[in-house]
Amino acid sequence: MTNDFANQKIQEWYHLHSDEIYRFIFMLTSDHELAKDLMHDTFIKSYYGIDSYQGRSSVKNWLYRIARNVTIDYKRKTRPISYYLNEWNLMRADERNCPQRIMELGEAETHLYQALNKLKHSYKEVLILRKLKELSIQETAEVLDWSEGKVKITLFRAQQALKRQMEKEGYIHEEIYSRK
Amino acid sequence: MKKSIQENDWKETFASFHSLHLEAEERQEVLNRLEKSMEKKKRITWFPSYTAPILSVVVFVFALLTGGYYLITNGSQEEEITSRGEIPPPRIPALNAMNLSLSQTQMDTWLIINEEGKETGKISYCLFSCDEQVDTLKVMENIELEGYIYPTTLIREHVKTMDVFQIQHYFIYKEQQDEVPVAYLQIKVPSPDHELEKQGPKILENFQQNNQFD
Repeated sequence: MTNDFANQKIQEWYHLHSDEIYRFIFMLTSDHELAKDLMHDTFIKSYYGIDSYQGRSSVKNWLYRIARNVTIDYKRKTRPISYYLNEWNLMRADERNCPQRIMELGEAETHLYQALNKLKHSYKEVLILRKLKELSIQETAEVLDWSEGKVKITLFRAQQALKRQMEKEGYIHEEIYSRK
Repeated sequence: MKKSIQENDWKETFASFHSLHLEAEERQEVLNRLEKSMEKKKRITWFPSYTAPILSVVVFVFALLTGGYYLITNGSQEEEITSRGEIPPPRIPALNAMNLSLSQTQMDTWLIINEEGKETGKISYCLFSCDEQVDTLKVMENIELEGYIYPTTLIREHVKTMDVFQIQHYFIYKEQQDEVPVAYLQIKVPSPDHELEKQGPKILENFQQNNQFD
C-alpha cells in the first residue's frame, strides 16, 4: 500500500471514527487534552500498521483496539504504579476528579462516571465497550483480545461491581444488571 | 439519599455519554497534527510475509558463497606475490619441529637456519634464476624423485668441507616437461648420517604440500 493511499485512508477513517475513538479514550483517561493526544497517536499507529489490517474485524473495532493499547501503554509508562494498583483494585480513583465535560452532562451521568472510575480498569473497559459503545460480545472480545467467555464473565462481575458501587452512593437500577 | 429506579434510567444515562465529542476546530487541529506526523515520518512498507524467509535464504546463500570464495582465494593467494611486490615466506610447518627457521636474504630467497644460527640450507622461488651453485664435478647422484606433488630432481653433491659433508639440491618443476625449475631447496648435511640427511626429503615434501607454485 502506498503512502498516499494509506494517508488518504487514515483521513477517511478519521472523519468517520474520530469522535468515537476520542470518547472511548476520554472515558478511560478522564482527560480531554490527553484524549486528543492519544487519539492522534492511535491514528498514527494505524497509519504505520495499516498493512497489517486484514479486514477480519471492522475498521472501527480495529481502531478501538489500537486506542486501547495506546492508552494502556501511556498509563503504564507515565503512572506504572497507579496503573497496576488500579488494575488489581487496590487503589480507587479520586472522587473529586470528574471532568467538566461529564459534569455538564448532568448529575446522573456524573455519578455513573464516578462509579465507573472506581472500578478496576478491565471492568471499566468492558462496561464502556458493551454498555456505552454497545459493541457485541464478539466485537468486545476482538477489541480486548479476550475470549468471548472471558468477556461474559468479566462483564457480569463488572456489572456486579458497578451495582455495588452505585448502591453505595445511593443509586439503584435494574438496567445495570441486565445482560444482553 | 437513595434515588428510585424510576428517577434513573441508566440506559439513557449511558447513552448520554454519546454526546461527548470534539469541537470541529479541535477535530481539525488533531487532523492537521496527524497529517504533519504522517508527512514527517513516511511509512515503511513491509514486504509480504513470505518474502522474509526467501530473503533470508538468499542472504544466507550469498554469505556462504562470498565466504567460500574468500576462503578459497585467500588460501591460494597466500603464496602469490602481494600487492606490494613482496613474496610471503614459504610455509613449512615441519621446520619448527626440527628447530629450524627461515631468514629471508633476497626477495625470493630464504636461508634455513638451525638453532645455533648456522645456515643449513636455502629455499628459493627461482623468479629470475635459481641460485643453486652446483659444482658438477662433485655431483655423486642426479635422480628424478617420485611420489611428490611436483616433479622434483635431486642432485647430491659431495662437498667434504669442515662444516658440510653433503649438499642436497632439490629442483622443483611445475610440469614434468619444464626445463626451468619454479623452486629450489638446498639442504646442507654437516656430517655423514646426520639427521638433516633424512630431514631433507621431509622438508621438501612439507614445502610442496603447503605451497603452490603458480
